[in-house]
Amino acid sequence: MSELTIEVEERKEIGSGPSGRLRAAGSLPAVVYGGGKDPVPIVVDRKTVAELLRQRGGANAVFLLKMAGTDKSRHVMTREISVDAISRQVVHIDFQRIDMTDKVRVSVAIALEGVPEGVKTEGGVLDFINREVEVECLPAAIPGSIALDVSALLIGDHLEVSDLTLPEGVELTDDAPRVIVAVAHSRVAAEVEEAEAEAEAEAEALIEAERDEPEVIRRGRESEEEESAEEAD
Amino acid sequence: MLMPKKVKYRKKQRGRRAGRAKGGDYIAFGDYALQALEAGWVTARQIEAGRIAVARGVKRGGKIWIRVFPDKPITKKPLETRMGKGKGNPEEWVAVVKPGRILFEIEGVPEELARRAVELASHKFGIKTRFLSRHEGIAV
Repeated sequence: MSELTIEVEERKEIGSGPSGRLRAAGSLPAVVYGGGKDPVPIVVDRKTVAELLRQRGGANAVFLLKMAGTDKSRHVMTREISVDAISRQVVHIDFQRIDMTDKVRVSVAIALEGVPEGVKTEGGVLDFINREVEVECLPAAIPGSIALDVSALLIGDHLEVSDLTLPEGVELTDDAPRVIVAVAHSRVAAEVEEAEAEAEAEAEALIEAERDEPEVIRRGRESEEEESAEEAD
Repeated sequence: MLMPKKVKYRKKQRGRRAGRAKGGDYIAFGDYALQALEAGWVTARQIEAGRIAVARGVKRGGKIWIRVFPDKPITKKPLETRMGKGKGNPEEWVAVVKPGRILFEIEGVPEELARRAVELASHKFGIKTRFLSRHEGIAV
């Protein structure tokens, strides 16, 4: 991966109020931590960073942070990107200081390749159970994603972490038997309709049964009663 | 329909629905989702109707997750009853939903089919919702 430089400023005020004002002004509050030093709150330009993150796919992007007005610079990696659930805009970024010669432990996305045979011919469903894998490598060698060919999978087959082919210089630190992807049976349309009819009948019965209330946990009262009975004895 | 198996107390107070969803506001399992954009009470019947709509929408295959659970009992007084004499009886179960909360997730179907299924399900709820995809990046 090529190196990207972001110019940052130190953030004097911290807290939700000043951070909100920064966001309104088009900036983005962020923090740099790690590397055996104290955390430093910083400000970055929102548009620049969001564009760079879009190019890099967000996670594990390595940047060179340059403090504005000084010649101080430091390699960092994005550790957490907080995104607003509704506006989908970045609201805060955590950068972690890294040494380009030290290995880092990161989660890398798995990219599936091909359509499983079990889905194409047998009508199965592809279940992507674990979408990331934890690896250890040098910051410059962090892969954007790890490809996994699923085209040979039939119904009932699965692929595990140990089936991944990692690029050179990347070590696996995840559990080898963890399942990544599996092809399961799919309910065919007739079965779906049958099941729905059953579910509807069940739902109707439940509407009647809905008047029935769930069991109320009465442990406290029971124990109190037991205690009072013991005292009476 | 969804309801708790056991509860500590039969009746609950109404509560407030201010603010955003604290959790469950991102796609955790599937590829596509239905996300709430408003706060409200989503009843067990609405969830069931939504589930059926999604299941019919995706027809062949696909996996569905329901990300909300109606754990709040709503009481009602019988008709033509004078006020007072205590709180009414539990009549239905609702999930308290706040903006950002994911209601359903789907996996294993093409985007167009998921979009259509989610749209059908969205009509079953009394709150504004939207389709969300895992592949949607961050907004600039």
